[in-house]
Amino acid sequence: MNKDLRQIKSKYGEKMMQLCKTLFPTFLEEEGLLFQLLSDNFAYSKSLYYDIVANNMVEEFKNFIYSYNDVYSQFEFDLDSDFSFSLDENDDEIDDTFIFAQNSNGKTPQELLDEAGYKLYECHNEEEIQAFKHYYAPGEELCTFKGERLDRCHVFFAVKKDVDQIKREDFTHPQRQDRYGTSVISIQFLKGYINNVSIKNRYNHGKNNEIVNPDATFSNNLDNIIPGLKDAFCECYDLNVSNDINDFEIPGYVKANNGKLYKYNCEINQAYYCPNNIIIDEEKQVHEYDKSKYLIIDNYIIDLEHKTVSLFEDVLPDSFVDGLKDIKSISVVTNKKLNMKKITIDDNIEIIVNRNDSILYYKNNNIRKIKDNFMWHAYNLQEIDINNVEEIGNGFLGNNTIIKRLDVPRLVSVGNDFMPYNENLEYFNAPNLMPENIGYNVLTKSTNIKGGYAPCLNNQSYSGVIRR
Amino acid sequence: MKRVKIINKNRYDYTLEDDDKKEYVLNIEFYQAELNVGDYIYISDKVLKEKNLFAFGPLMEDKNRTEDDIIKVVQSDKEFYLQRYYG
Repeated sequence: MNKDLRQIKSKYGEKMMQLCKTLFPTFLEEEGLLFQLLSDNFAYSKSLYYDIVANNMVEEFKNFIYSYNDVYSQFEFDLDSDFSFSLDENDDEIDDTFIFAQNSNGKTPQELLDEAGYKLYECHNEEEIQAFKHYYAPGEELCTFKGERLDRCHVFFAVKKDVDQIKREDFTHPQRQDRYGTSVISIQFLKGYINNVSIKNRYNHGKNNEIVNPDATFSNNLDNIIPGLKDAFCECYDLNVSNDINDFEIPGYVKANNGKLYKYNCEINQAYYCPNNIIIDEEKQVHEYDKSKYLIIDNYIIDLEHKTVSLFEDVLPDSFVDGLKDIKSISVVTNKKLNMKKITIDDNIEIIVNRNDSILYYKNNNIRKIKDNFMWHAYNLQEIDINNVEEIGNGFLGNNTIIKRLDVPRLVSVGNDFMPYNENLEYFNAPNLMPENIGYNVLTKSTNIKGGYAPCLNNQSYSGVIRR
Repeated sequence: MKRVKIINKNRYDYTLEDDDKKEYVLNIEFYQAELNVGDYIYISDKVLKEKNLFAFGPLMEDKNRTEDDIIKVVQSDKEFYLQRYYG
């Protein structure tokens, strides 16, 4: 096997190796080049391949790597060939046949977008802009439709030829680069000397703000739609689009000041908490903690040597840490098959984390009183077992949306902002929690509770919230 | 959040200067608000570095906006918040 591919497999995994072998055959002719390009731009991670595929960003990834090399202009890779970029770890090897084609010169944006399955429209007046409003779902309309956008931008819309078959209701988990999001795009160029481009998404920001950077669809790189598109617009419309290499963005990744993209579990006050014992501070400086002495899970730093648990910054105190004082023992057991770790603290606290060291499960049946902001940033926590807790302060699991079950039979009081964003809670058992002993913003979005008993909730069957 | 001062305004192009005298030029459309040279904006560092067109307007109800979507405007006689509008 080629040395670069061996290194890529070692640091980024088998699937990434196969993908690179398929996408970048010419880079492999120069030893060291491809691995260098990857390691200059991406922290080592076996998750990278899966995140690129899950976010439909293979084309963008390809263009990003090729933007470092002139060879790209000679070849065109057909993603509609027999490839299947899969998330299944048991897949067979990817078929490595692909099609070479000469890159086309001299084509208009209309012709290129036609090849990409779009029809391009230029808007000359407000009426022509408003004609596209009907493509957007209620609550997802672009602010372009508020009017006067032509004062500052050249406005185009590109509409997929099969747009009538792409239904909003079929996309229950919107992603910026999915088929719906890219089925109607507004390509807008700033008027002026430099014509920066913004490619607007059909979801816009999404009904629940779930679409990140909707004004940077295709990373605002026209060549990610179809190669040559940027030059075509520049030539046809006399535009001066910035030649800066657009940053390659992946949702859930942050670029550190060493130029590399790192996957992160959570971001707090512009500090990013990443797998592999890495924290990136607000200056984008990478802090790497010795794995023999520390374990970082979500935003908690476990000092294995001194038996302490602390926060990187005390901007938002988290009572998870308060409850972990005078620790006598910490053990960490790795389950390689499941890609999980189990952390046991003083024999009565159990924490299970996933492959990215993000907390999935927490158990502590000794705890009676929980103070404020307990596990405020535990986005991935799926189960919590705190059966004997009696009092909970403000901000309990403030950002968690996925826990389905909470059994707290001894609980008698809760503060404000108690699981305020959780929409998935199905079972809530708090028989001793009375309405007069709860704060405001309690289970605000929990409208699907079907099991358990909680007199603190109103008579409309667990429709949640109670505001004082 | 970073504090920046509007030091120049040319239609939609705002030149902003932070406390370290570093300058940024952002193209921004403001809805229902008028900002002028001398005003201060508290804005996310991430937004300052983003290459895009921006629009900000009055805060909307019931939106799960992020901290990066909010700016605070401080003028000589008042201060208020605006949120980012996308699209």
